[in-house]
Amino acid sequence: MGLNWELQDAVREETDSMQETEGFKLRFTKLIENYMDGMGSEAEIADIIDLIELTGDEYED
Amino acid sequence: MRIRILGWQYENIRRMKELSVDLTKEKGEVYRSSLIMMPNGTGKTTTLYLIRAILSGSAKDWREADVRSYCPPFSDVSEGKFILKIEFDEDVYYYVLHLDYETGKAWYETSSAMMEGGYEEKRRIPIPLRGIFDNKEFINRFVFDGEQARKTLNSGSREAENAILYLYQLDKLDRLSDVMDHLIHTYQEQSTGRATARSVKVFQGKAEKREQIYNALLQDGEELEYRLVQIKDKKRRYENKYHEILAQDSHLKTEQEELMKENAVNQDDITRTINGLMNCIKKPYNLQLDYHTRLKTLAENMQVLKLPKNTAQEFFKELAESNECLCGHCIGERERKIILDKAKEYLGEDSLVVVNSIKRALNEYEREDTCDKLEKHLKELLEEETQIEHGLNRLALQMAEEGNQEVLQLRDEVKRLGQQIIDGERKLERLSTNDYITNTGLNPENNIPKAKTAWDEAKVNYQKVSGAYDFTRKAERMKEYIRRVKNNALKRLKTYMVQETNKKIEQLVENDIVSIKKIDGHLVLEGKDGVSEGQTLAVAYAFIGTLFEHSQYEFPFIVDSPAAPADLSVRRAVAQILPQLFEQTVILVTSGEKKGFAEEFYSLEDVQYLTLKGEKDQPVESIPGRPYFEQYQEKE
Repeated sequence: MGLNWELQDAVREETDSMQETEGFKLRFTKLIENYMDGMGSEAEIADIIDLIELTGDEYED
Repeated sequence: MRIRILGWQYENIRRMKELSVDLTKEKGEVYRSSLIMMPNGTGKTTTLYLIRAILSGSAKDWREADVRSYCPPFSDVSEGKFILKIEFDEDVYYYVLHLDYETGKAWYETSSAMMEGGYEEKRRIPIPLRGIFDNKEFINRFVFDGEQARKTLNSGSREAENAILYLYQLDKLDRLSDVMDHLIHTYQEQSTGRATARSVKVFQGKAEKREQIYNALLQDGEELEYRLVQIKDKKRRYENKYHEILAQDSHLKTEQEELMKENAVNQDDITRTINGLMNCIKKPYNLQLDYHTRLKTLAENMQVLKLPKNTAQEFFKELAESNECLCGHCIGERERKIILDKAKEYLGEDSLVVVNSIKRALNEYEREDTCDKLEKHLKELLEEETQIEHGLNRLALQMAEEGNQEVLQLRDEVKRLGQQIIDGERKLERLSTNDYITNTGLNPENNIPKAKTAWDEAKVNYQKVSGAYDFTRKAERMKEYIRRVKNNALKRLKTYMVQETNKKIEQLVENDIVSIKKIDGHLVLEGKDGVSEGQTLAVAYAFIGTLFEHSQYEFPFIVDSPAAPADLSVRRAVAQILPQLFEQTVILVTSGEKKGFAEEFYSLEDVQYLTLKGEKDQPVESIPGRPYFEQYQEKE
């Protein structure tokens, strides 16, 4: 079915500004599309979450 | 997706005995506008509620009184039905809402060409619409009434913003975040608890401390082993030297050799006797006569009390099944219940097996006097050991008297080193043993295997909590991305809605300047605290029109008395704008709304006119066509 253009633009703006790998950005965009179409499993979401790279100061708070 | 309402049918619902409303033309297409005249009391609001109940599925939560409120008055019919015929693109669905007036239950059936086997006993909505239709509030936006129009401008309401969220399904992004929360919860449940930066540090610290303790104990063990080797070596050298000195005198040498042989035999015997005594200690009745006497008294008492002779609980259960007691009394239901309740107080078959084993063991065991004998023998051996030691001391003293003082020093030194070896080996044993029965008081602070286990556990806990923590941080970051995407898309949609709605308001409101400033939950008007009832309708319809026009779903619009509160100019404007906003508009009106509103449709093409009428307490009938619609006047 695809996303309405407002949502497409919002996803594009977000992926442009995030400090993540290209692989993550692609999977993130696809996830939003799939989820809006009623697809997307927990396993797939967990896989994409794992693509996020944490910085070194995670335990300093 | 295009959604069209093709019609509906009432069966035994309030004043509708059996009535169909068909919104289609000859070729099966729907009219662009359907005006249905329904005088007050014929079921306008009821119709709106029933359509909403089918689309949203809300009837499953109705109370018995809600269901029975649809029962025709003064009638004994047991069931009512409302059937809605809808087309989703090319697929026609029939939804039946059954109202069982006897049980007070409401239930659905669905049938469509897509489904095989006739009706299915549930409400089945096409998959893409499920998230949208299951929201009761959303259905109200296209099955519309005046109250809904006011909500869009009500400052306490979030109606306008929610309408955008649901229609453009941005609320699905909240559900995506919920999935992530569930994943985080699952990860944390599998770990040792809620993962925070602090808890990760705590578990890391614990693991490091356990590692340090384990390594320190390992080092202690190695050092102790090394020291023992050195002490043993030193002791051996001193012993050799001691023996060499004694061997200088042949008489002393022979005597010493004999004493040493006796000593070896004595030590072996001591070891064997101690082992025998240890076995004795495991049977305390062999050690204490009083203990033995009390155990035998217990056995006699069990014998005297005939405890337990038979399976008491089973006996009572069997008795409860009989019609007559042992004493001849009849056993009725009350007695049976009491017997079964009381049976629980007696031992069951499984408990009896245990008690019988104890009884048998108490009867069969015999006290032995081995302990006393071994104890006496050990005392003799220890005395003998002392004698041998005295003998060896005497030899050393003799040697010293002959002028060799070194032999005494060597003897004392060997003795001291011997004690050091015993202490060291004992320490090493406690440090490295796995036998926690013989060696009591051992813990991860003083025993290497226990320290290793504690370190392994601490490592696993740390790995679990740090893994869950990492996952939580990542998932929280992903949730933040999704939250920003949702807010950004909503902001863009709101901007678009404001612009397009204002264009429509300009057409609807001619004699005043009304425009939307922003959408902040509700529609916020530019420079106005409030508008007239008619302007409220104009703004609400303009907004709803824009909302649906931009959507990828083409909804029908069903509205109850759309212009009732408006003045004539607004009525005309609403009548002109409504057919333009939707591909299908179904309008329920009263005869009072003909003037200024319904009459505006007379000049339009593709309009259907239906009049549903019925005298009070009479079934309602449907009369098609504009002439009757036009001339019908409701009684005041």
